[in-house]
Amino acid sequence: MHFRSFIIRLWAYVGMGLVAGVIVFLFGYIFYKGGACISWEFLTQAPAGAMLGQEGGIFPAITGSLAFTLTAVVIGAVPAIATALWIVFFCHSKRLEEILHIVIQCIAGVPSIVLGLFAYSLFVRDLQFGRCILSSGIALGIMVLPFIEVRAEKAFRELPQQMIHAVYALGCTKTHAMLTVVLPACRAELFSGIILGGCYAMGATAPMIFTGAVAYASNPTSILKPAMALPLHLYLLVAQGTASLGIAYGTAFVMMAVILISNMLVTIYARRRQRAWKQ
Amino acid sequence: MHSAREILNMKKTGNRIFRFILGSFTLLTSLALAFVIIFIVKEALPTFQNVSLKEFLLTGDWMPISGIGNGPRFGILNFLAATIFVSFLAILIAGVVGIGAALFLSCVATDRMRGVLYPFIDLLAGIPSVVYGFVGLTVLVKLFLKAGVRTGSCVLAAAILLAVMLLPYLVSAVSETLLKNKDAYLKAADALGVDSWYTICGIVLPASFKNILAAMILAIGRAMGETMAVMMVIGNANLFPTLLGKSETIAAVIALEMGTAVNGSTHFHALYAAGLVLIIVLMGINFGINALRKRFI
Amino acid sequence: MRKKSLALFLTAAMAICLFVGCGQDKSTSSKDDSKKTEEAAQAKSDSAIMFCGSTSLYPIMSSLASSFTEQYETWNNVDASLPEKNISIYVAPGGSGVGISAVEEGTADFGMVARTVKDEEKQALGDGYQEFVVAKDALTVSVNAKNPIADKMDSLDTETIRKIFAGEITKWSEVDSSLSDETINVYIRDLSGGAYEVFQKAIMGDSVITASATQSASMTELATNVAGDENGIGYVGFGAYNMANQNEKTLVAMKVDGVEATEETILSGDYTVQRPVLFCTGKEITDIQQKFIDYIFSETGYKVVEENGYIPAFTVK
Repeated sequence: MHFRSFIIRLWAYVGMGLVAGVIVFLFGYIFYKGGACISWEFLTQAPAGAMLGQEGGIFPAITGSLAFTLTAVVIGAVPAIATALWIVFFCHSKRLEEILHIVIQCIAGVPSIVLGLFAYSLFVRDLQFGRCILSSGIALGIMVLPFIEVRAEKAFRELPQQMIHAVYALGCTKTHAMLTVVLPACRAELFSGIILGGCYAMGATAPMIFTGAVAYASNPTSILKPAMALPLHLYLLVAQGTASLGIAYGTAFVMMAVILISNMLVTIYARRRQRAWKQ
Repeated sequence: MHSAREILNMKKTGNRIFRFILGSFTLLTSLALAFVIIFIVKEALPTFQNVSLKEFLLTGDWMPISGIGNGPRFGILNFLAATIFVSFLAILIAGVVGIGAALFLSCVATDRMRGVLYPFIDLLAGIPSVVYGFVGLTVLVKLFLKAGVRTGSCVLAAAILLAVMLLPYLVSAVSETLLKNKDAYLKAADALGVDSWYTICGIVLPASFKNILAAMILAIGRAMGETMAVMMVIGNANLFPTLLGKSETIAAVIALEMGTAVNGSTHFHALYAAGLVLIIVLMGINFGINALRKRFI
Repeated sequence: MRKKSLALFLTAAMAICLFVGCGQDKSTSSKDDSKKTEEAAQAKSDSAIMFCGSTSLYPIMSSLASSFTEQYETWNNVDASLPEKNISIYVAPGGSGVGISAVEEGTADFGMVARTVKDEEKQALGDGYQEFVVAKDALTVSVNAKNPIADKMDSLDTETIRKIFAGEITKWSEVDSSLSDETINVYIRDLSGGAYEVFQKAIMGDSVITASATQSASMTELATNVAGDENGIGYVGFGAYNMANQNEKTLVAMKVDGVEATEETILSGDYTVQRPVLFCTGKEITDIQQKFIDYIFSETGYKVVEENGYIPAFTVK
């Protein structure tokens, strides 16, 4: 008896230790190796040098990634939140709800590279959008949609029923209730969902490769033109081999830093909102 | 001044419009899925004019360039096997480590610790796939190279990397279940004088078994779709997957060869067909889980 | 009530699907036509140039695009007769195959290709086909500098090379009995690289490259791989070979049938395993594009090509 419980206990500690260790290692390794590369010039200049990327910085990649992420989030978050609202408050049939949940699950199940293929064949080629931020944005938006939708739905469902009923009892229409009570009340979860969804979109390479990300471009000026992106830049640097490894670390550093900061912001904000909630 | 009736009607119309907008977005979401599937199928079907379904699924001979040997051949068996093998292996590794961590989170950690640890582990979920591949290439592959594996890149390296990527999802799902069951049973067991860890091992874990299995199978879905990280460490050779050998997953094939496929050629359509196979397998797993859940919950 | 709303929903969904499905072909074709004429008109005044294709050429193009943009910033600084628009040059990688496809589809202005363009491809691109050969690249048959074979012999004949890459010879000891009994690790480019086809034609002929060869996504990656593996052999591109040996000798190129890969033998054609590195287009070249092309073939371009390790196929006028 004691032996078995001992093993399970050991399992728990070792498991947690491994997980924590891996996380610390990943961030520590990238920050350590990439830190040498980071400087103000690196972050604000365009790549230069005879072997591209050896000198200069990654600024267009940063602004490009921002453009991709913004487009993706707008295209993905709006339908996601609307769908979540509809399912939770306007859908009266269990069957329909189930079907919609399956649809969302299926969208989440489509591999990101296949989404890239889809966006390529429909938007880049057939509709002649060409390689541009919009084509990638749509692919990324579809990728992020289930992510945000699930979080939004969870947030809406966790609202106390009394609150919603009280609002109806006061005579508000559903629309008014949504806009003035539900959405603001779920600000934290929606916010975190959108930010984290944005991080997810920022890091995804596969949908971008054929649809809008390029090896070199100046800062993005319109969503109908292609742009550079951090993950693709990292991948190309790695493919180029040892000469560019230092800069690759620097690019990874920037990406990890963004992830870390976004996650921390989201957690702090969620914590603060939660305290306002707990009765 | 509007009469009370008029105001009511305006509100009703406003309501209807809002409901319509929300409904259309919901429809848009469903249409997006429909479009994705329709387009992939549309581009994939022409493959089967030149390649029989059996040959496509059951042979491992993949040679898309004509003029070599006896013409272009498209068999994705090795890729399919590699995708499934790597995913299963990854889930196994992630499961062992993840359930351990989940046990810690639910049964050892206090509420406060959980408040810190959950977001901490969620960080893993935010790290981009390329960065994982990058670290895998510079750390894991080098380790394997030192250990004697021929080029360092192998299926095991990809599985380990994939396992790390799956950890956050697995840990959060499993710890949620364990927490629920622990709360349900631990107090009663304590009152009876049973040692807590004995309860956990004997009651909580077995009770959570089904949900843990479901979480693991769902995570397989995620694993199979993963492209970049796996592509960078698996070696990319059209071989049947073995633990320390090189292989190639379907997602990697698509990513690497999409560049070469001439628009409209059989190669091009074959890549879409491979993607379609991947989607079908993934959806199969999803539906399977849902059906099982309904029966057994 | 529920049945009614479900029925309504499904009917609406079906109707929309039908609508979109039928309307798709018509609308895209009419959109295509109007877009094409719009594009043609815009192309004349469009200040964006899009290159797409070969992973061997894109670093050179990106570097030139970057220095060009930084030097001039707007087109009217290059030539006063051009409009005052910001210079936007895009370089997308993907492989020689993507290069051709992209120009064919119209999603790129120029396709970068690192092999000879086939006749069918030239036809598909249109009547206005033009190609601009930037550099010549050769595929060396390289081994790791630590490999003792470099001391024993300096040349391999085509047949031996073919057997090694086809997997018929698997150990170094089979090449020369004094060498170690280690397995030969073959490194190749992936199928989207022009190098794969070039090597196939020049050396392999009808044989297929062994399935256990490691694919690399680019020449530099291939070079890095062979440089890191004592038992490795690969067809490292001349440019990547030079770059890898920049700081210290990590790779040794074997002569092929007695011919060494040098600038002279490549340019003269004596070294057979070589390929042109070019970019091509099927459309008429606009003034704006011509200016950038002049820049590529200028002294700056010459230097950049050389610094990347390739042999410039042009002389500076």
